[in-house]
Amino acid sequence: MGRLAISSRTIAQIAERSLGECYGVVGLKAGGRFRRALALRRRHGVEIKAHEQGIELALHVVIAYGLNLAEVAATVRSSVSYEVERQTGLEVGRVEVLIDDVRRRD
Amino acid sequence: MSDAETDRTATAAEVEVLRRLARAALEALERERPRIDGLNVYPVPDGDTGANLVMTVRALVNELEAPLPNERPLLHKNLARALLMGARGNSGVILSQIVRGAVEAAPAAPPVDSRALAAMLERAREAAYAAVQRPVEGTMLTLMCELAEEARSRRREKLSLEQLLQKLVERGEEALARISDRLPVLRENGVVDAGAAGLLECLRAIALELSRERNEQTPRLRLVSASSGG
Repeated sequence: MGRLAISSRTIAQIAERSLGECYGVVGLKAGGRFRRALALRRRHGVEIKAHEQGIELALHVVIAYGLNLAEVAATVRSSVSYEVERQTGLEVGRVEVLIDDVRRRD
Repeated sequence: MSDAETDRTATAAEVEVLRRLARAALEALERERPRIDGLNVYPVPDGDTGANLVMTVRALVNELEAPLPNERPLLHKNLARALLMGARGNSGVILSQIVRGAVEAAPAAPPVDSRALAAMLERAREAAYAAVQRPVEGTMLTLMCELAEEARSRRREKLSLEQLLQKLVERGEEALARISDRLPVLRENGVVDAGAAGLLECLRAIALELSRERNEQTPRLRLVSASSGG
């Protein structure tokens, strides 16, 4: 029957696209949360770790100044997790949202 | 107290109007909550937009029930902060930005007339768009554009505040289905955007409450106080 493989790069692209549309997110930052992990794949602000049972994501984001950070982070977590699951069919387990910076609007 | 200082002082009657408007918006959202929840398919179809908007606006109402500073700019700041802290969900966060922008542009001295409202809507639109990289059209953001545009286009008509609010409600009602058609996930599900529907409910409630209050002809409840006392 063959098998279907979805690259980490593809997953990262989906996550990034979703992040760009998340309200409150004004940028991404390259992070290193899973730097020492074996299954490391990083692309800009998105890190992916694959497991038998699904994938883990770490999202490094810059949030607009003056927003409720906890609420923005919660929305980011659910939106990205939903989009990745919807488009890949993979189960998304843990999603870490790391607010690397807060930027005042110009 | 100098005249300038007096002008910046919000009267008890003015705060009471704000309280009534916020309560009216909250009541409308509570009433429409099941419908708004049912519209929620974007960004995540978790059916909680109505509930989130209720919680967000309730934070504003609670703030207005508590003792508040008299100085108008400070009062506005407090209200914006209450919404920021109380914001729940995506729609709540966007609403908090809209209100923050609006109060930033609110006049430090009365009156809040149609001209002031147009400026407040314009700033609200800017604030809403400033917090996202790639704005998704067909949502609360797009409705905000429509409302700001409507107010701007009627600048020369010298409408009263109530008249302009009525025009804004009409524009919102006309625009809701049209803008929702721009977002494929809404079109496919045959719904309008939940957050935009909630924003329109707030606007409708505010317009209705203000016209009701003006019809009562009770000067003590006038939002635009000709003289702020003193």
